[in-house]
Amino acid sequence: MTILHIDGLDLRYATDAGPAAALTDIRLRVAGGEAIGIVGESGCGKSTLLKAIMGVMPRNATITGGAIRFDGTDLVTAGAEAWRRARWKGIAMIAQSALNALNPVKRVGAQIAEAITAHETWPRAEVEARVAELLALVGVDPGRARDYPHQFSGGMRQRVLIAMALALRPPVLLADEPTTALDVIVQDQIFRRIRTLRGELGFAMLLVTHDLALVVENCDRVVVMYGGLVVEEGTVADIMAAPSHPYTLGLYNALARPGQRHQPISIPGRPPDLVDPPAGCRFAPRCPFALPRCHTEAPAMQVVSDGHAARCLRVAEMDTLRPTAALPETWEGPQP
Amino acid sequence: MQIIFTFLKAVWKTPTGRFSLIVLGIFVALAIFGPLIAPHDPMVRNYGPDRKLLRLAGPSWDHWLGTTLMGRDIASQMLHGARPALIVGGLTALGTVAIGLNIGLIAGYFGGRIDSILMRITDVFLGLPFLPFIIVVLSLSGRSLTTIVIAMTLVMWRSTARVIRAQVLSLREMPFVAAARITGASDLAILYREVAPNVLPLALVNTAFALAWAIITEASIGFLGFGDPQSITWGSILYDAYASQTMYRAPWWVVPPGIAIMVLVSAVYFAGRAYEEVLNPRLKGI
Repeated sequence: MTILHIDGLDLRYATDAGPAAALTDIRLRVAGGEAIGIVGESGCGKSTLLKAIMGVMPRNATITGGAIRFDGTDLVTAGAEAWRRARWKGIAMIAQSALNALNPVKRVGAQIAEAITAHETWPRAEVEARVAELLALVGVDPGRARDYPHQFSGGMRQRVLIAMALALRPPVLLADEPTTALDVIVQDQIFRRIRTLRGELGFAMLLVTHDLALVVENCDRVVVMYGGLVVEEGTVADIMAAPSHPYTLGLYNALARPGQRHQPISIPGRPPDLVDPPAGCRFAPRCPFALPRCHTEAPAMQVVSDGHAARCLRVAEMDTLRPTAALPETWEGPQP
Repeated sequence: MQIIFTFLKAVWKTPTGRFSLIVLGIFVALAIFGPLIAPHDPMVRNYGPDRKLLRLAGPSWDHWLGTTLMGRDIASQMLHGARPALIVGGLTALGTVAIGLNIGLIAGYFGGRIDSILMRITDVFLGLPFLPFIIVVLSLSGRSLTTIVIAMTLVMWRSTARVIRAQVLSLREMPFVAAARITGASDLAILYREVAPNVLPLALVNTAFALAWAIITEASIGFLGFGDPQSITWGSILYDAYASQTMYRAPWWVVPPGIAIMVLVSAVYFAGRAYEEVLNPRLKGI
C-alpha cells in the first residue's frame, strides 16, 4: 500500500542566473514499511527532494508542478497549515547535521518533549513518560533527559535526533545523510539501531546518502538521482546485479570494496548546470558511452525488468557496456 | 526566574563579581530599609541647641554627614535617595530590555520588510540626542519618577535592539532552528522557545549595563534640576549643593552622593562585566 506518493514533482530555485530546475518530474511511490535509498552526488537534488516533502524549502524555491500525496492528501495544495500538521506526525525527519541540530541551551529531554507538544496536547506526565520511553528506545539512559546537548557525544546526539523523529510514531521517516559527521563505527551502530527500530515499529524510510554501501545494507529499493532527475530506480538486488545507467555504473565504480586492488574510479566532470541543463541526456557530457543522439534527445525512463527502470537510450546494450565501464581507462580517456 | 539565579551564581564565582554583588546587596538593603533607619526627616530643618538653624554643620554624632545650607540632615537624605535610584534604574533597565529584546528578536528572525521597518524606527531613535531628548520629554510631560522612566526607556532600548538583532541574525541560520521548523514548530514557538533562550545571556549583560547607565542618567537629570521635585534623589542632593554655591565650603554635602552614585554604578557595571567574562572568557585580562 502506497503511503507516500510523489507524482511528477517539479521544483525550481530562483537564482541570480535565472530559474534552476532543481527537481524535474520526480515520481516515487513509497509503500508502508519500505526503505528506499536515494543516492547521487552533491547537488543532484536529493536533499531538495526531502525538504520539499517536509515542506521546508528555502524561500527561493517554488514547486511548479506535481503532487506530494501523503495518505491520499496532496500536501502541495492542502496549504501551509495542513502541511505543518502532517510534519512530524505523518512524516518525520532526522536532520543532517547531528552535531548542531539540538538547541545548545535547552535540556535534551525538553527538546524531545517540544517535538511532541508542538502537535499533541498530552498531559505533562504522559509527555515525560514518552520522552523516557523514546530515549530508552534509542539506547540512551532516560536519566540523561535533564542533560544538555554538549554533555552528549556525537553518536548520542544523533540517537537523540532519532528519538525525536520517532516521537509521534510517524509512518514515514526521512533521513538526510544521518551519519555524515560521525565516524564509521558510530555510523554502523546508528544504522544497526535504525534497522532494529524499523523491525519493531515498521515505519517506511527514505534514506538520502551518497554512500551506496549504506543503501545496500539498509534499503529495499534504490533511487539514483542525477541533475534533478531520477535516472535509475529498482530493487537493491536488481541494481547491484545489473546497474543500467552509466551514472549508476560510475557510482558503483566509486565504491571502495575490501580486497579491491585498484583505486576506486571517480567520474570526471561535475553535475550539470540546472539553470541551463544539457539539451539531451543530462549525463551525456560526462558519459563515456554517449552517442551523438544522447546530446540532443532527452531519454525517458526505460524499463529494464519488472520494477527496474533507467533513463538511458542505450539501456538495451547495457550488458555489453558494463564490462567496459569497470575499466578505469573508460572514465579517463577521451570520451567516445 | 531561573536565568536570574544562574546569572547570580555565575557572577558570584568571580572575586570582582562577588564583591559587586555584596555591594549591590547593601544598596538594595538601603533602598528597602533606608527611610526606616534614617535618623531624621530629610526635609525637616534642624535647629541647634542654641535654637539657631544648623546651617552647613559638619559631620557630628547627631548628624552623621552634616547638614545642608537649609539645615537638613544629609545622612537621612542619602538614605532616602537609594530607593529612587534603584527603582528608576531598575524599571528603566527592564523596560529597555523588554522593548529591545522583542524588537531585536522580531527584526532579526523575520528579516525582510519587517526588519527594514523596525530597524528604520530604531535608526530614528538612534538619531535622538540622549539627555536633551529626556529633558524635552520631561518638560513637556511633567516631572515624576514615571515620566523619567518612560523618557529614559525611549532613548535606551535602541542599542539593545541592535545588539540582539545582530545575534539573532546568526542564530536563525543555526541548524537547530531548521530542525525545530521541520518538527512542525510555528514561527512564534521557534522565536521564543528556540532563539530567545540563546540571546538571554546577552540580554542580561545588556540589562546590567542599562541599569548602570540608567542610574547615572537619573542622577544627571536630578543634578540638572529636571528630577521629580517630590522625591529626594542623590542627583537632587548634588543639585541643591551646587545651587547653594557652597560646594567647596561643605564637602560633606557633595562627596556622599557622588561616592554613592559612583560605587553603585561601578558595582552594577562590574557585576555585568563579570557575567560577560563567564560568557566570553577571552575578555579576561582586558
